[in-house]
Amino acid sequence: MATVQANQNLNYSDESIMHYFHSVGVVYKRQLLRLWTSKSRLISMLIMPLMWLLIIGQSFNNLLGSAPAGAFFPGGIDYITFMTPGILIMVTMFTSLFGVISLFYDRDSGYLKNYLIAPISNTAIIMGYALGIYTQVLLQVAIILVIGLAIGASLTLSLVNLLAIFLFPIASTFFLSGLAITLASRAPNVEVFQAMIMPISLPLMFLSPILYPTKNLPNYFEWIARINPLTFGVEGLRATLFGNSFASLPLINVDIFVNNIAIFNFLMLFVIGLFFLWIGSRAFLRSLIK
Amino acid sequence: MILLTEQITLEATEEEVDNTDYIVEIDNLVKHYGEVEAVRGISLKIKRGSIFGFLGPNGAGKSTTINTLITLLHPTGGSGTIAGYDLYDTNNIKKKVGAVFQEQTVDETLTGRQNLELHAGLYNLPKDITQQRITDLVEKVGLTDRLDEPVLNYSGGMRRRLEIVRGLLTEPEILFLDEPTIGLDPQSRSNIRDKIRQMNRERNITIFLTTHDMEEAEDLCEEIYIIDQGKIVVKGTADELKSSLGHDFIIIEFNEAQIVEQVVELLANVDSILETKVNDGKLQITTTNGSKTIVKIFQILNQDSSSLDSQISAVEIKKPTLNDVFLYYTGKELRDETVDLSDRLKMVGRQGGRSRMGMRR
Repeated sequence: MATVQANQNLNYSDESIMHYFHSVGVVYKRQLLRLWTSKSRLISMLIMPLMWLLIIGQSFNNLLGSAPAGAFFPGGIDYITFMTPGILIMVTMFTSLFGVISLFYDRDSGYLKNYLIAPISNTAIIMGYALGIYTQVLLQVAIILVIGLAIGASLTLSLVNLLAIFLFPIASTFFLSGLAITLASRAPNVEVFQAMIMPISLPLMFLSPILYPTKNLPNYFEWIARINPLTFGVEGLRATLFGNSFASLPLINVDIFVNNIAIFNFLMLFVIGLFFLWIGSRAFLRSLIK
Repeated sequence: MILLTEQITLEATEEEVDNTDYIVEIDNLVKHYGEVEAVRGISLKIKRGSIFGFLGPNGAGKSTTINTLITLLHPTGGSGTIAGYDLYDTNNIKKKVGAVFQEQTVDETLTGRQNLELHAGLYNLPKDITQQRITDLVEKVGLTDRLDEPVLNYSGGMRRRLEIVRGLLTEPEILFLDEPTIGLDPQSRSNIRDKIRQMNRERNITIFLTTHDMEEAEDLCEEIYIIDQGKIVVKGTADELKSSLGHDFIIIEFNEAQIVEQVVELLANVDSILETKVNDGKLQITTTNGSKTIVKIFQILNQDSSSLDSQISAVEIKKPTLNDVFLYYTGKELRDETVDLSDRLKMVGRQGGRSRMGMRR
């Protein structure tokens, strides 16, 4: 019994919630360190939203600028103003879907084993990675907001609006990262995972009111747009910011609920998000520990 | 009849009296992946504080066994304890077990120190103890100067050493090392072997080692199990394994070559000698046990009136290498029975003891 004292210094308060958060924190800390160390990732995080807003936003704005006010967008807002909340959700989508690659990379390289043999909860591992993605999303939201305002989006920055600007992308990322983790649990390698993401991200983006109102889409596409969770994100945000919605939503009459549409959308998105996150982490952990 | 009953009783008592401190005691471990039976009933007994070798060809079930022991896989069946905790009590086992994996699992974008600190965080190690242990361990493996550099700048050997430090940082009771020296140059290999031995002695950490380097296994391991096709095919010390093949060679050179024939005649009745050959004036003996036979040979030659032993100029015992053992037991043939050499040798010893006692009577 010579090594009885071997682990005396390990200070476990085992199943306690504090220990859980501590372990989430360690996994999260590594994600932050990695992000900070990789300057190229930081730069691309900044450049992506910049390009969308500057190139697409300004081109479309000029294209539509000649049309009479209110011809395309009820309430007479211009395209940059319309598009900025959409870009928030779109960048959230790309960051969330591709952010899961780091989980993938760690699975394939074997790094994840360090976490899996450590005395921490397995869901804490997934939470740590997810928090890493949410941090990136929040940073990007801040960047887009600043750029959007700089190039002429007319947004009122009330407390409620600011809250919505940050909460809707986060609720969307629950759904998106959950979806990506679910796919990751099925994909044998990164190439397959990327091949799975592309055909999912395009319809998610174009069959939602991110870049244009879905009311003008062909009937069958419009129906898909109605059940696209990103529609809840974009429209909930726009409803908060502009008091207007640009897409029909399933189950409810928009005209009656217009005041509460933001809250409704947020709750829908939040529930769907948590569901996907739960499915995703279960599937992923099961694929790891057989 | 009486003898037989007595022996059974003796064995039974010995079983009860066995109070060796085993850190791993696993009985009949089974792991299936769907239809594939990767591990088909493995029993392990690892002494606390020892260096234990687990050898086997690729695909024999080595990694599956390790991954089950370190809680990366759920066992399909089996029972036993690891570091005092039940095989299925994974939460507690995790606190006592450390591992260095075959593939590199340090984060190369981070510095050595960051890698170590993150690992300590997972085990909730207090900050001051973490720093103190990092300083101590890193000093021992000679990484102090490079600790705050990104791992990207490290050589293969340095990465390996960092991983071993990380494995030891939480002071596990048992550390699993899965081919720790694979792909390293001879200097790094020998360096890492020294560190493993040092850590084992100084901290009394049990080491569970897998390797394809038989020299390494022989050099480090007190006990070796060889696994093939999901089953343990043989176990014992390196010497036991080698003598289990039953062929040692003794080569004797004499001052005068003509007495060789005389010696051959004298040795004709030694049971343990399987074959004698004269080759280039040297006597080459194939024997079941080199070290015992050589004593016998000296006794015989000494007893002879012409004191032949004084004519011997050189003696060499050649044992089969562990490589021979490995190839022999993991050959293409299917073997269902486990050969437990330590038991077999114990039995031989016991019988020997009995007969001596009989003689005294």
